Amino acid sequence: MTEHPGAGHVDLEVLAELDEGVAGPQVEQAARAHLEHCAGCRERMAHLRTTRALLSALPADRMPEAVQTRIDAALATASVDGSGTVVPMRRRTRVWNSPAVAGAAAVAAVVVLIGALVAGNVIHHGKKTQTASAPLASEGNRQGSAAGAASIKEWATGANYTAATIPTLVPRLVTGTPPAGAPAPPLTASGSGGASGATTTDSKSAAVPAATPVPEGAFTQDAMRMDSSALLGCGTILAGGVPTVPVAVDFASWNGKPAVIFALPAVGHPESLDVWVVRSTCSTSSLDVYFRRIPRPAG
Amino acid sequence: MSADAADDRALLARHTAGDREAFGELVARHRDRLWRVALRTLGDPEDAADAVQDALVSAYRSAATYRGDAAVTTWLHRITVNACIDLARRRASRPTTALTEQNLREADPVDGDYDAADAANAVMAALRRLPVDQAAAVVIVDVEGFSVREAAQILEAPEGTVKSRCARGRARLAELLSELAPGNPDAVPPVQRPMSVEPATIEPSVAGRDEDQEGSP
Repeated sequence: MTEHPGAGHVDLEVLAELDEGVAGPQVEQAARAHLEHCAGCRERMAHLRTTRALLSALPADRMPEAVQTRIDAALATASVDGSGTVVPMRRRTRVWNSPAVAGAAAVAAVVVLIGALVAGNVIHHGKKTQTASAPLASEGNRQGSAAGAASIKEWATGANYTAATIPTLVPRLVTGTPPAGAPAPPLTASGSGGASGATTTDSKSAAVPAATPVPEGAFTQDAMRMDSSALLGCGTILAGGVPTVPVAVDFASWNGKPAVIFALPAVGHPESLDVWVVRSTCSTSSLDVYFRRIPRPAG
Repeated sequence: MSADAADDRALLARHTAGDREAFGELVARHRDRLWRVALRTLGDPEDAADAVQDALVSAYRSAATYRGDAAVTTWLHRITVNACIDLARRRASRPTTALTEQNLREADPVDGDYDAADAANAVMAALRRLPVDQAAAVVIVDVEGFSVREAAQILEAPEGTVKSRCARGRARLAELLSELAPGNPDAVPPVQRPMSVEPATIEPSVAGRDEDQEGSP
């Protein structure tokens, strides 16, 4: 394949094999004899070595930030698929507006979650918004801004969710037909609009001041039961720092362990809901969650 | 075993034992190198990102199958190179601009001022013209500096095969680079890029197709 102008010269590939020590003995002997008296072939051999030098001198590029972001998200999704746990691979600044994230559907939401893990200012932002947001009206702001009036359909069904049942159970939280299996009354308190019926939703007011002290940037499941602001705070964390009112919340369990199920508006995807399962304290530093995007049910 | 290698093994063990931070730490240790291998083997950032993503997700899921017969970095490189080769073969049925002559020309400095960046661009352009198995061998050995023995583990090929691929790859690169060298009066004519697929599956470039389709609607 590597013809050199001029008959009798050593093929460039043979020179390379000679240099690598993989030319056969007869070929090697003939090639070395030729090189003895052929300056042109010696020059080409030198060119081969220059090529190796150029290869070894390629700059030590680092993986671009956008690729890191994308791979972190893919790994987070992989971990969701496997164990129901999102693993924050590293902390970073918010990536909400990153072009690498835009339009990446469910993966993007996971990225945004990771982006939310960076700092407590996310929580500060949520609280500030909430203080200003006055009592929330009964019909929700479906686009997820906590700055306006919104309601949370809050349940405490105690149902045991799994990855397989989320697509069927969560829509029922939204449509008002909660999961079968002894739905329990919401355990709301603190002057919220607590529902009394076992199967009714609670359009919880979010105007409740933060009565239950929690560590900065952390909301326990109990805090979220007691305090709408904690629910909204966690929703904001889950939405990557964008003040977000959950469409529905269920205090239930995940694979047998207590968990809070959040159905959030999928920003930029009005036809979808982002389902988050918070299995422990909801905070910027340790988030043990499962994520899945599902179609938003009609009504 | 080096301290780094031991740390890698410990991280992988922690990951398989359920430590949710361990794999991220492992990735952070190796991602730049894996990125470079993919980028230089494939020659296209988007393809490289696809390959590394596929590789790391695969590694994440298959960590339990790691037998410890090679260093963790070797294992990660093996998975990455395999992802690159898979992707290159998929791409080969619909070649991108990365495979066209134009890319090679773009690396050719027109002003004759051939600096390090030009050289790097030329090397990258030339690498894109290699069959992917040769590119992978050259990248692993010459660019990343793995020994032939390590490269054989990464490429899952006998050492002699690795050496042969390297030799053929270097010969091709030397040809291509001599073609690119400014003012070279003895430039070797360009060769057809032999992607390691059936040539019949490679469509002509857009320009070539226009010419080829002369008279067609």
